Amino acid sequence: MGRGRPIRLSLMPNDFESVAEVLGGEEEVSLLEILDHVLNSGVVIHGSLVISLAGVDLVYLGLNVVLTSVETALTNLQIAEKRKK
Amino acid sequence: MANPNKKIADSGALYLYGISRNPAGPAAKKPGANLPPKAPKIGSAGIDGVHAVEALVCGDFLCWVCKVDHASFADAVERNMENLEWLALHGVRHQQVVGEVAGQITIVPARFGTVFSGEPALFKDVLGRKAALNKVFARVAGGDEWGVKVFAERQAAPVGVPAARSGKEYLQQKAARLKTRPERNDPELQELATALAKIATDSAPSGKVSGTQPNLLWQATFLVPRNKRRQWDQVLRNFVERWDGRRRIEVNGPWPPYSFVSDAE
Repeated sequence: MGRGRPIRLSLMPNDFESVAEVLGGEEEVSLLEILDHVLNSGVVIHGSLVISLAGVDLVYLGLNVVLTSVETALTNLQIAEKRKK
Repeated sequence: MANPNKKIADSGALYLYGISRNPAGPAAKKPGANLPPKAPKIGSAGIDGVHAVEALVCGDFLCWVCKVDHASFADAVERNMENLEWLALHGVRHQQVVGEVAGQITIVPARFGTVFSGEPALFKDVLGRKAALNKVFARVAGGDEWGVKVFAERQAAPVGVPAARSGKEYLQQKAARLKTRPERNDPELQELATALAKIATDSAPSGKVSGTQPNLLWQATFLVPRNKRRQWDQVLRNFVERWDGRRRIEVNGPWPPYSFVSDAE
C-alpha cells in the first residue's frame, strides 16, 4: 500500500494478496477516523512556551460525531471552506 | 504553497504540526538556518487555510509550522473545543499536512492545536527535549499507525421468539438483539489482539471519538513496521475468514504515528 492518504477497508474473506486488495469497501477515511487519530494525541507541550493547546472534550464530541452524519459534517466543512475563498 | 527558505519574523505566532529529523549534515544546523535541499516541500494548506506550511531548521530537527494570527487563532482554539464543524475543518487540515510530511520523512506529530508565541519559544522547547525526541524517532521510524475495529454482524431475529404483543415487549426484544457488547474477556477478541500485538511494535487504546459506534465490539491502534505488512495482513485475513458472517473487521491507515509519541513529552 502506498504511503499516501489513509484509507478505510472493510475486510471481506476473499483470496487476497494484501489487505489493500480486498475490495469490500476501500474508502477514504471518514471524519470519525480522522478525529479518532488526530484529537488528543501527539506530543503535548506544557508550560509557558505555548499559548494554546487543544484539550478536546471527547465524550461530548463523540456523541456529536455519531449524531451528525459524517457526510453532513464534511459537507458543512466544504461549504465553510468555499465561503473563505 | 510551502516556501521553505522564507524566514519567519520572530514576533509571529507559530502553529506546530510536528518535528522531523534534520536530513542535512551537521553543517547547516544552526537554528533558523536555511533548509537543507533534501527537505520535503509541503503543498497542503496551512491550519488557517491562508498561511503556507514551512519547515524551520532547529539543530538536529526540522519543525513543521505555519504562521497564525496570535490573538485570533489561539482564541479560536480555546473557543472551539466542542464545536464539531470547527474541529472537523481544522482536524482535516492538520491531518493533511502531517500525512503529507509523513509520506516523505518520519514525523513526530505535536498535539492538535499547539501554538507557540514565536520562533524563540519553539526552538527553546524543541532543543530542550532533544534526548526524548531522539528516543521516539528511533521507535516510530519505519512504522505506520493502523486502526483496527471489530464489529458484530447484525443478527437476524432469533427463531422461536413469539411476536411482540406490546410496544414495550417489542422494544425489549429489540434491545436483546442489539445487545452485542462483548463480554470483556471474549477469548476470540483477545486472540486477535495478541496476534496483532506480536507483529506490531506498540499498541494503544483507540476510538476516543468513535467509541459509541453501533455494533462495535473491539478496537485498538497499532504501530506496524512497514517491513512486517505481509504478516500483519495475514493475521487479519485469518480472522476475516474465521469470522465470516459473524464479525466484520475494519482497518484504517496508514496514519502518522499520532498515538505513539507521548514519550517525547
